[in-house]
Amino acid sequence: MKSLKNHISVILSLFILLFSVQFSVVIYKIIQDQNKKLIKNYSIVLVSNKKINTLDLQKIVKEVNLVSKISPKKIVNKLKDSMSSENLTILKISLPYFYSITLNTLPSKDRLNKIKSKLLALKQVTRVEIFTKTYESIYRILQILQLITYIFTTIIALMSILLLFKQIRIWILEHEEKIKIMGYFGANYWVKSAFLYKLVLIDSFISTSFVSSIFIFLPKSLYIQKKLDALNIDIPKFDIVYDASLLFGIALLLSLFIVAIVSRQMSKK
Amino acid sequence: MKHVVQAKNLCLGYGKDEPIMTGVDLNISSHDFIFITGKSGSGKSTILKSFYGELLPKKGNLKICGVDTKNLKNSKLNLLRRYLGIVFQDYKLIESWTIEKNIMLPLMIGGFSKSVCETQAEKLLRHVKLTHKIGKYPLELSGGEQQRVAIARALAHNPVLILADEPTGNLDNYSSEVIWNLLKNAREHLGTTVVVVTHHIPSTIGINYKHFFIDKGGLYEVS
Repeated sequence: MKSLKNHISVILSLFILLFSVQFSVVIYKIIQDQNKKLIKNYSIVLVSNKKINTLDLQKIVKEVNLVSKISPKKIVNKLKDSMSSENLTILKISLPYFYSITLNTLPSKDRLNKIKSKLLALKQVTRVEIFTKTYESIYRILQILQLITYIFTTIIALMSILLLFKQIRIWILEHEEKIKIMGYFGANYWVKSAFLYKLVLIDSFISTSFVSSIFIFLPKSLYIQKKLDALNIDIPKFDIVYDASLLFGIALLLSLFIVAIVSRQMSKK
Repeated sequence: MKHVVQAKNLCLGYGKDEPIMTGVDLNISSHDFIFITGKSGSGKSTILKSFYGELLPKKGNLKICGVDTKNLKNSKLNLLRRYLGIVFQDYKLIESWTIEKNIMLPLMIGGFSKSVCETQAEKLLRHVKLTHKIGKYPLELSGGEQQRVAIARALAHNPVLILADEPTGNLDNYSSEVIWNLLKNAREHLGTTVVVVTHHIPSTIGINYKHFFIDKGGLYEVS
């Protein structure tokens, strides 16, 4: 019973740690997805005397995703009735090039202004217009949410690590006599600590399984799905191979590291 | 190996306190059966601790199985202990392990296969007449039986030297006699050197032995 209680303490610490890590990964992915949606809510229009391509602009502004030409055909067609065909031809020749620019990230307002200045600094560029919807406040909320999640995850992770340290110290104290007896017969560090490594391996596996199950099955619940649909949020899918391996790796590496530190500290006493 | 234990001008003590033993000169040859006696607190256990590397010499030299114990590193100490079999007054059996697993401990540490460990444990349980207790845990056995398990464990890896710290200190006369017979057999049949720290030497021991007495921090041979 006591041993089960000790196991639960480690499993619970690892579970909380892995849950907070996976939770922050999910929040990060959701925010990235929302950012992509927000990017569609604004556009940059550039007027230039000379032809411009995506590569040229990417050299100056790294966030540039695509530069697409805006055809003046529509406007010219509207003037068909009020202008002679000769004048229209002259107008067509003298018209500058119009481009629409899309970015691959969602920049802040300051960054957008900097991008505008950079583009205007080009000789051939005569005008840059940024048409934005009121995305700035949403963008800020998303950034705050991300920051809060990271702070929350860091605090939880630190607390879990402290709990793990404490629990592994208790394990070693409980097995102190056994470790000492093994030492009398010439057991080296690895033989004496083998059981600890075995225990953390099992506990890492159990805690990873629990967290993986939650992130696989919870988004499938009708209640959650309904709530997320209402908010227009898509929960990223849990990749059983990649995500679960990553969580198991984190749990195992961290617990092995703690066992190594604590057992070496205690063997020196 | 002529001398299993060689001590020259050995000085032993704990921390910065006054040394408990000084100027100890001792040579223990292979196949010897040694008794070390003395009053309580005289340093009997201290000298034995130095033999299994629990306590390192403050001054002087101490060689166990040819290994100099001065500035002994952990890795070398572990190797040295694989040549020793230690028997404690309080048995020091692992309570959460069955008695056969306890006996297998030195063999497991030595890297022997599971089948070899099991065969040897069965053989030793027969030798100490505890076959009927297979599968039991130490706390399910009497004190005498636990000490028999401890001796079986000490013999499991055919050690060069057995160090016994008051092995019969907590036992009744019958159990004590069984333990003495096991230690005598180890010397006679396996050729193991035996060093026993005890309050008094049993009158019925019936073998040739050497007797050392500790008094006022010195070790003296009793002829």
